[in-house]
Amino acid sequence: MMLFGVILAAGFLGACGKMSATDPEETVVLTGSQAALMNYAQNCSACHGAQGVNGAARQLADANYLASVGRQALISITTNGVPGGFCPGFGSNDLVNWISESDAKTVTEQIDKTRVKTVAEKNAEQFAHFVDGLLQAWGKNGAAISIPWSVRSAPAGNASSGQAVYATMCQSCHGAPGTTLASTAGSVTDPNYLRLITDQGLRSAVLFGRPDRGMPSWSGPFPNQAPDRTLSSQEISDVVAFLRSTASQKQ
Amino acid sequence: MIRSIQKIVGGLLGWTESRSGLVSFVAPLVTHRVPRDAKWWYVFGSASLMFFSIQVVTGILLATMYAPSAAEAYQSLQYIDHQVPFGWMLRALHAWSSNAMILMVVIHMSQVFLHASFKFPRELMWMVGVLLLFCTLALAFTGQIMRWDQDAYWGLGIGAAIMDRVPVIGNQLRNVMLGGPYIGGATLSRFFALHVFVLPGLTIALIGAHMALILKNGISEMPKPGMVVDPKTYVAEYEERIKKTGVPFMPDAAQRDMVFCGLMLILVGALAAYLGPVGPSGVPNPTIIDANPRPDYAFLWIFTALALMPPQIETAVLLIAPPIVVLALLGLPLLSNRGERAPSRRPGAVISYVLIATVLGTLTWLGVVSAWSPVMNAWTSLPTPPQYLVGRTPLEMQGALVMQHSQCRNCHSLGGEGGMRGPNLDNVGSRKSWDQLVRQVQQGGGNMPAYGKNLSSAETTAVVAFMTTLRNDGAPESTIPGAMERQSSPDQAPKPVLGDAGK
Repeated sequence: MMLFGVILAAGFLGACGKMSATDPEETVVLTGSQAALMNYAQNCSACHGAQGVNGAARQLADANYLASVGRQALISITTNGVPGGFCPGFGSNDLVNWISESDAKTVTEQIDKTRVKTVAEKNAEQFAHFVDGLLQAWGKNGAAISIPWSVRSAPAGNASSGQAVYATMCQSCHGAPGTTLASTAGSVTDPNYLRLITDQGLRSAVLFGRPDRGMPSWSGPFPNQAPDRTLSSQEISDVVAFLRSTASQKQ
Repeated sequence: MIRSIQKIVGGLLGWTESRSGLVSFVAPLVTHRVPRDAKWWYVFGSASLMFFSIQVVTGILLATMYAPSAAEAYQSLQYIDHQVPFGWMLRALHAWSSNAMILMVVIHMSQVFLHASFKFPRELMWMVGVLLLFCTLALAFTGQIMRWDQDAYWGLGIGAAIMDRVPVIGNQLRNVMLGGPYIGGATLSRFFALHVFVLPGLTIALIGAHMALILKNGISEMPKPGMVVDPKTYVAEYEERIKKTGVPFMPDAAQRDMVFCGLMLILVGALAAYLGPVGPSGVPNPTIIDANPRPDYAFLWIFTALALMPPQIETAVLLIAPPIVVLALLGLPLLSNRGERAPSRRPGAVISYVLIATVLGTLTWLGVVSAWSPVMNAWTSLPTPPQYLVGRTPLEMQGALVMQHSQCRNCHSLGGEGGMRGPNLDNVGSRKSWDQLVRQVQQGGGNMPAYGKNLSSAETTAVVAFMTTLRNDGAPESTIPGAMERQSSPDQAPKPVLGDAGK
């Protein structure tokens, strides 16, 4: 009876075409950028968007941004997070160790040196691989911008000259300072917004823009301005200083 | 020539019969008379027995390949599934036939209860049946441990935790159950011994007793209203009726059993072929908190009940309820062994049955559909749906970041992705007003923790501002009838242009 059952079931099975039991997992060797993108999907896509665009946080699939910020700073941000921002540092938890070509190389190197690496070294390596993979995937042909992106190397800003810059370059989309409602792109002088974003965040936003959302970068083109009108490093510092001053005036 | 063969065969048969008494033993079993009206209601016991036989056969085959050691069990299941020809089908049959066996046992028991077949003189049959029910459930539980996966691990953990709560000897009971203070190799070995030797042996012995009692007392007739069981006269009346109107078990009743068993066999074979083996789920590792362990169907109701029970009464219920249930089941035929058998004359019994079945069914259903576990990596891996970010202000975009960063989506879904623990937030702006959202975020409530201390006022404002934009197409922002309009707080109020005011 039992045998009959098995034969019968096998018959069903053939009919359903479900015969193939899945093969045991094959070891897939990924390229560095594939491995990086899988880690990106796991750890970053929630805020930065599925393909590095259209997320709530900064667009990362932006070759110029990646080139300007540079490999070292990107590794540091991935490991330690953005100071004062929402981006957490992922240094404390391992990135998933997808086997990538570069990892495979590392393993062989490790065997050559016959020295076991410390956890910190391994982590640092993983993050370096991750950033390299990301640069491979999204950073091709990116040109570093001549203007310093970091607030640390930026000139000091002047709020009152920044006000003029805001009025000509930003106001047509972001509205007059202090109006938190009714403007096409939404207010950037909303005190709550300013409390949530750092000066660095503001500087990066002005410098790199949001190409995926139609916000121009420092090189424009800006609405109602000559097409070759660009922002200088000083102007960006000024407008950041001005935005900051609107919030501190309120508090 | 033919005659001499006949003589030899006849002689051999006669010799065997005279020494074993096989025919004279089996013949009355096969031809014993059963009530004429015992029709399709009486096939479920046979079906249970058939599924048990399947379990024995598939179980023996599986035991030839399964490695009952903590280090190798998981691998050996993978081996059976992927390397052994039709090994997966074997595991599938064992799993689905076990589910089917439990189902048949429950249906069989329901029928016996509703027809009051447990009344005089079949009290002992019912009690043995109750023991068989527990054996079946114990086989199912220990069988689920054999998979040695996440479900097994957590199932054991919960079982051990229940044992631990027994006063005074709790620790010892747990150590006996697990083979030590924690789940390890010894645990699997002893559950293997239980599942493969002790419980099947016990079950076979009890089935033997159950069958012997059937032959001794005969199967019950279909209940008729007004046909009252009276221990003084029942046996004589029953025997007379059977003599007059009964039919031999073989072939009259057995043929229905065979048809039903055949159909069930086809059904379970098809299920096994189509759905495949059950588990193993993830590797049994307690450090993986991103697990969603579920017990098998037969125990889902316990899982749900434990999840829904207020923690204060857990210990009391866990320690008091099982003995009461066991005693009630065993004692049922002693409490009521005479009188009416027809369901229409036993409204109390029918109502209790419906009540119990509804409760168990509902709890099982909840166990199947409810999402108990948050999605632990939603906050980094599930992108905010892009359509929810189009045309949002910088503050609302920051709110979307707060929502991800505060791990809201581990419990709440957006665009169908994320945890199912809390309500989805796709159109929360239509359901809740600004003030309600602020209150909910800050104070929590309805199983949601309060985030008032974890979020700054700016973060709360931002995430609420983002949530108010999550509305059905064109739906207005939710307001509370009669409540105050959304106040233009200093943060929200339109300001005069700074350029004019400041100078």
